[in-house]
Amino acid sequence: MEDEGNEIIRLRSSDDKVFEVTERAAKISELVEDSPREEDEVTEIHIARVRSPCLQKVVEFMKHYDEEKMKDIPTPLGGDTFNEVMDQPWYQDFVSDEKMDRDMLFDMLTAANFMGIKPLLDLTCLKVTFHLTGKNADEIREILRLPELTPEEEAKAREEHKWIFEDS
Amino acid sequence: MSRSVKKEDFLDLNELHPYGVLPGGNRFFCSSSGYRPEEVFPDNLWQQVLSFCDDRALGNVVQSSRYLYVAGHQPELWRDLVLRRCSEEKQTISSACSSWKDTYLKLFVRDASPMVHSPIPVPDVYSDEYYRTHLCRSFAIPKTWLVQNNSSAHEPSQVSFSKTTKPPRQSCQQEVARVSVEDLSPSQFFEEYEMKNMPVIVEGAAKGKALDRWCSASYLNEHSSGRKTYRATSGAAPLPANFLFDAYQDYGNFSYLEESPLYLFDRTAFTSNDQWSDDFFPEFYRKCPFWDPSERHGHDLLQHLGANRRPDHTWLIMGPKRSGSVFHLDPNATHAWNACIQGRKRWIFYPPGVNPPGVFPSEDGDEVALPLSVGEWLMQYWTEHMDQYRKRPLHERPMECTVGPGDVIFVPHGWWHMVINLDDKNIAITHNYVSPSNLGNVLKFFKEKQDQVSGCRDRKESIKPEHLYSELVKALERKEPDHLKNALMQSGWTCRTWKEATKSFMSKPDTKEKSVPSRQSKKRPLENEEPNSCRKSFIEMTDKVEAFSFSFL
Repeated sequence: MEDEGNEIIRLRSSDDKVFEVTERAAKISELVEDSPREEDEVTEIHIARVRSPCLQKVVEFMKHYDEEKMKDIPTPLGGDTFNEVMDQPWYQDFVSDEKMDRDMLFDMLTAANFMGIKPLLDLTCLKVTFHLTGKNADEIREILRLPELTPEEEAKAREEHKWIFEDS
Repeated sequence: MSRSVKKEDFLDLNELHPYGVLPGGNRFFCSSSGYRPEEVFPDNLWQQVLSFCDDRALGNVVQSSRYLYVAGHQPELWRDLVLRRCSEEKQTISSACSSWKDTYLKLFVRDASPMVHSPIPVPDVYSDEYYRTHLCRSFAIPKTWLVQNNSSAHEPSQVSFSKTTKPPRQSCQQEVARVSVEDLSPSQFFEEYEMKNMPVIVEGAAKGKALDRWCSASYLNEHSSGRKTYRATSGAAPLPANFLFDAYQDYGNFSYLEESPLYLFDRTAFTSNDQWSDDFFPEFYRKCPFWDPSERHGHDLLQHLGANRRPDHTWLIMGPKRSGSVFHLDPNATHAWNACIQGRKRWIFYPPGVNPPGVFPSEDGDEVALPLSVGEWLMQYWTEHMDQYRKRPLHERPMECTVGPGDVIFVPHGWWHMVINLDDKNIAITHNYVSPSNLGNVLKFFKEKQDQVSGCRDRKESIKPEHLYSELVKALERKEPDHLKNALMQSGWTCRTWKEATKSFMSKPDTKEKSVPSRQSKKRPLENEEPNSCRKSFIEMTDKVEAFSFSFL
């Protein structure tokens, strides 16, 4: 193993918890890549918008990605379920409902965006998408906890979308 | 001369956002304390999520909430569903409805609702991102652009060359020179424009059968020589689209509210169609012998490579209002002429060696970062563009003009240019060529910039970039040895666009310090070939440089 890339850097969360990760693993984050390095001491990068529970998982992702790259997500997706599109077990498990609830999933998505980690961004977006797929409008509203359309707006939208319920 | 156009002129929109979106700051004035999806994550991430959705998922999503009603109706989402499915199923777009969503339903969903999608303006949706895309795609066209300022408006047509009208020079805007085709001899064209590498509008050069006949869409379709599908692309689309001719007309008729509409440009339109060629070229060559390849003055030197082996060179171009090309350089250091058959176009030029605002080429010119759409450039860089008229010395200033049906514009090599279609329907023909005036630079380009060569990679029979230099030299040794000899004597670049020295003429220091806006992408300035997916989603672009289809206007 080369020495380069094995240096430890520290990532500090918004609530001041520090996580250590190798340079090589961390550089999938553009934010980390672009941050200046200390010369004589261990570099510590403040990840100002990510809280520790979330950052811990991000670091977990980084470490695993260093060992097993995540496959790119193709478009079109090429599968009807999440597991068909993302067939790598570790990654399936990482964002599974058992291991990651809705709030954490959304936090991870935001963190991936903030830190510029494309594979994590794709993975979390894909998961959110599959949370929405196959659900009707009411269920989606429930999942996302969003304000509704008015009854009139909803009726008009429903009228326009009858085709969803017909088998083609 | 009309007053200068200001950025505010583009903001004088005719229409509100069809889905009722207001700029983000307005949320501070609203009384509703409802949940804000944008507080969960920003609009661009929602677009990323929604870009993975299939048709049913997206259809359900838009019914679920006001915000998602707006987000899920971004036309680019439905456009991408159409393009991907057409590509998967090898299907042509056989008809275009009033929106991408309706088009998708018509093509792929049997028994789709007969209801046409009509946007509901919903209150309580505040988003700078969506409002901004609305501005970019529906910017107002300044009235001054719609006027062509004909040179001979008040003069008899027998005006001699020395009386060519150039609009009075002012401290601000300068317009491209105009001359009537009847007043322009070949030697005058070569000496005053081609050798000096200056743009000019040759008025009346495109008048003739094409101008008279092509205003009828059915005429073009009837005489399409059995040709069925036409390719259209845009910088923002992940794939090209193949349309039936009528379908593309319909697409142009509707306002799809896309930031970068699909552009039809077709490189085989004239090789495979005698009627279309006959409608335009004979009269054009007669009027403009300086552009006739069969004349002996050495025009169109790449013809000697052979008709199928030479890089792409002649395109039919069609596009709807506000479509266009953001700044680019024409391929392979060629000159071009662009003949306007229908619809007016606004051209903006920057001279060789001067980078337009918002355009950041790498040192070797292989990559360029710049806004993806015309509207975005206007919103972001117009003010800086107007400043260039004041700040720069005369020879570095931009130039602008409006070209109308019947006119042909000469685009000299090395000039950055941007084109905006102003009318509902716009048809043009363009041709890129090499003449003795730029042969030296073209040879250098083929020799030293092989990875920037374009127009030849995706056709089997065409000469590949690594052989173009030697093949051209070989061909010209036989056919045009004198021109070749002169060109090979040229020691360096004669055009500042490619000279080493141009580094010092690049963006002035204050623009260098500007950060590259987040929605820019890196791409080659010269590619005009099959695009790989160049923009998968709304999210900020990655650094991947994608081959990209450009429409050269």
